[in-house]
Amino acid sequence: MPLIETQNVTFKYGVRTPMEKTAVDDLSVCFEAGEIVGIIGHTGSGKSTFVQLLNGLLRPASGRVLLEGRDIWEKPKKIRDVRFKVGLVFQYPEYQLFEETCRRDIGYGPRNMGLNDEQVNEAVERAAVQAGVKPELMEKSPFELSGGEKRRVAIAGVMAMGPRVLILDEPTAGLDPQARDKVLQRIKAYSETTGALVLLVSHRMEDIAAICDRIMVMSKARMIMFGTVDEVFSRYDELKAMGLSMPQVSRVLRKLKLAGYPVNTHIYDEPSACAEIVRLVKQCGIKR
Amino acid sequence: MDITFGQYYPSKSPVHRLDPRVKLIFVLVYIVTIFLGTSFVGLGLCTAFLITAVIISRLPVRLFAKAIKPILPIIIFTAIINLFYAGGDPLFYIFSIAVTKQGVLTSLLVVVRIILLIAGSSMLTFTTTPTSLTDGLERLLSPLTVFRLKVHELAMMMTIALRFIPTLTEETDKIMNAQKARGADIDSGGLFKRVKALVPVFIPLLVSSFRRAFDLAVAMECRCYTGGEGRTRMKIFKLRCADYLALGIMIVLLASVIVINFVLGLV
Repeated sequence: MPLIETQNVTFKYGVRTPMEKTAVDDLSVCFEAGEIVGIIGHTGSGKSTFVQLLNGLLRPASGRVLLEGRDIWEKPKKIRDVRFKVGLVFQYPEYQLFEETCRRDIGYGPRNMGLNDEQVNEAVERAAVQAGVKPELMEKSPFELSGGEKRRVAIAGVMAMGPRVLILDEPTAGLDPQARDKVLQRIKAYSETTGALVLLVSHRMEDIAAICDRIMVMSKARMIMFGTVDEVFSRYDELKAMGLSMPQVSRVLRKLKLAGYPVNTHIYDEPSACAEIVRLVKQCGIKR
Repeated sequence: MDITFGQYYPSKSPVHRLDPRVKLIFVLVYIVTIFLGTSFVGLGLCTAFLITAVIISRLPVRLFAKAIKPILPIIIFTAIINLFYAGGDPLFYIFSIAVTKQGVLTSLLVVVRIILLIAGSSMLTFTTTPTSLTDGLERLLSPLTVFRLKVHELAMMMTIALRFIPTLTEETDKIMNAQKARGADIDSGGLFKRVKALVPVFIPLLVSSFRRAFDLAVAMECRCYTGGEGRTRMKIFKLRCADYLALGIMIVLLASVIVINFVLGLV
């Protein structure tokens, strides 16, 4: 049984106004526990709406969202329980921090779950490690931290609820390269240690290639492709037509191939690409 | 959040193209006229005028219904109060309280008056963009600079405040969703619990408002903004034929209501 599944889900904004717009159109898809799925699509393709449908912030106009086989809207009053199981980290989540200390802010979700002090503390400590928040930051005000640290505190705030599905909307936007790598590495570790499903919305194809198992491509409110990283990125021309792309290193390999070099183009991450280029250089016999 | 009340409705009707200063004065005089017009004939004239203006402005009528809806309770309340407190000849009794002919008439008058007031002033905001509205206000108040009133700064503050309403609304929605995703329970519980549940929304909102304010101040200074002194404007208002015509209509309306009320003494 898939962990989370949508069946013909449709959502419209501004119903019965001149601005009515279908943001998600008849979308059916299944996600399994333990995988990391990247969601890509140009701006306005419906990605953000789609992820909000998964945790019950938006209610589909038609169709169903099934979590562990049960319709999440079966008992609308219990929708909060769904949100604890399907954690959603919004874009620029550091703007939601509000408590006096990082410890209290990370504990906001667990406290809402109705846990006792001891359990809350336990959850906070665990989440701080999972998100990579250093222990000495825990008693500081979240407003004194650097951008990358704030981002990790905000992510810890969602991880603290121990969600089975962790959704992150552009978690690396606006971070410097080092902070970006750290965040990605923490997300991957969360999936590996807890066996949770991770959905990663991103505009950076490098981020997607670095940690995802599968990729879902959205365009104009519909799902256009869903497959492994190789299956999706090897359809570069179609992606390009949708305003998307593939990782920079893969584009380099592709150009080399087009120029007639015998190179493997099914490579999407930097270390393997480097190895491939070194191999090519050796094969073609260029001396240092 | 629904903030349709008083929002600009884009169109290119003659009313939209009137000078904002003319429209501001017009609305002021119109309000005075409504208060002077204590008779049905006078208010009838105002109503006829308003309906004509709505037709010329090509605004959908449902916009006005939406503007009046939020104050409906106030209208009903004042109507009921006036119904019982007018005195005069009793028509019939409700729970032994006399309902008089005068009572019915005054409460009808009050209702018509409030609706005319709201519809008329909404007309101004529906047909004028916030920027040209504050521009017009600035020009109208500019004689007051003689009294050291910082008219330009006031108008700029108003423009900025208006400009940020949609931005802050959007921001509030975003933060609310983010906190709901962490299990915030904003829609249930008693008053105290609800107010407490809003703390996680208001603090981030406040922080980001300050951030925005600083950013905006820096951006304005980068473009050498130093306040109103010596500042020229891109759009220079010039009264056109239509504007003079509107002012003429306004004077005729005011005069006829005064004549009807005080000279002819019509009811």
